[in-house]
Amino acid sequence: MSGLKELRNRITSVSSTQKITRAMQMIAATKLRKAKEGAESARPFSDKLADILRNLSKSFFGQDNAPPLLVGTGKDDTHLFIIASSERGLCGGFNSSIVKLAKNDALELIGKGKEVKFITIGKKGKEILNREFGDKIIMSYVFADIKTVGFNQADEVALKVLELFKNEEFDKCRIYYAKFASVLSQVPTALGLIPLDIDGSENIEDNNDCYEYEPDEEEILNDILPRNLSVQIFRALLENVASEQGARLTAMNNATRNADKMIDQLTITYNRSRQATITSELIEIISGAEAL
Amino acid sequence: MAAKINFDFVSPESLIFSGEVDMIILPGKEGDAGILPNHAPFMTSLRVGVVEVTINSNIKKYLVDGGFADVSSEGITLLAERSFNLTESSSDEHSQLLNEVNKDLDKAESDKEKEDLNTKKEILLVNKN
Repeated sequence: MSGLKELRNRITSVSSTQKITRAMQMIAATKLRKAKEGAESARPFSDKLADILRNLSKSFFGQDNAPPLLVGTGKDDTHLFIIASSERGLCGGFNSSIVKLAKNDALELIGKGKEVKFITIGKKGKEILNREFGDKIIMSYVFADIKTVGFNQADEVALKVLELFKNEEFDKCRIYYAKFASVLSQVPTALGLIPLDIDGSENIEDNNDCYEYEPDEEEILNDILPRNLSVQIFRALLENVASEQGARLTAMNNATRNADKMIDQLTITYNRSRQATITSELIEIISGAEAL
Repeated sequence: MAAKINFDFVSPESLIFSGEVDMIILPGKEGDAGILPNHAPFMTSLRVGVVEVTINSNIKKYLVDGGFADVSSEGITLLAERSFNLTESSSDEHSQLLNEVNKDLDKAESDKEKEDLNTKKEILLVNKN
């Protein structure tokens, strides 16, 4: 009889877990929609900025007087990794896949005798990295009490990075985040911030417009580069938020489905053993009656 | 009506304004610049100041914290991280921003920061509605 009661308890506990996962799935779906909207509204700004940068930087690449923020310090000794992660767990392999990518790169660089430093954004990334690279994390940001990541947070991180760069504490900087490909797939990505990865450099359209610059090109470039850093970080954070919700949606969907399966199985076992008890009771009664 | 010019005003978080306008006055780093339709391609970085947008002889004013303007044959694109709509904001929002500026002013260290914040404050005081 105790078997029956245990089974009943397990069914109740699985179904209440399922209730939670289903609720989380629905919340993730709404948040995902919002996060996608946010990422989309950020796009015009960063696209335009990238356009301007592309136009401006063409003339500077390969020159000695190119701004270090654009081409790096020329050295390759210390690398700074910015790891964007989530504040909460229960989102499948989201955080671990970002950290794994960064870890592999870090180990490769360390193997070559380079130094690696980390800045983490989000609680989870820090937790995972702490185990192996605890002493190399120079700064960690936790935005747990902020509902939606805004430009101010990205700016805060960017200012810190600029300060470190000015003090020559690193030579190259990369940000690791999950690129939002679709709800089902989020691709962990590394983006070079210093020196700058300018994407799509092969399809530079020849702009026939003969621009007039005020102040001159170099000064505008020096003005635009620090801003670009904030914008790139902001964009990465937004993509990351969307990816996190996508990952959570998938993870919770799976969990709900697994719970369904488990409940089905448990119910069958429960019914079977209930039937078995009834049968054995009946046999007892019948054989008792026959003995009379 | 005379020719109009396309104007996009974007911040990292959203598209603030998009549409056809008659004229724009930009607070360029080396002086204000008025942009009319068919302006030659031109790019400038902005200082802290007021962007004036004229649409059908209505004037909209935005306070910007620096940024960039790109004038091309397709129109004007203005990039500004932080901006504040001086014409259409309520007096509550107005005084809230003024408070923030005052707070920042107390914290400001470099002369450049102080100068920028003072400009901002003046603009806010002048444009009180």
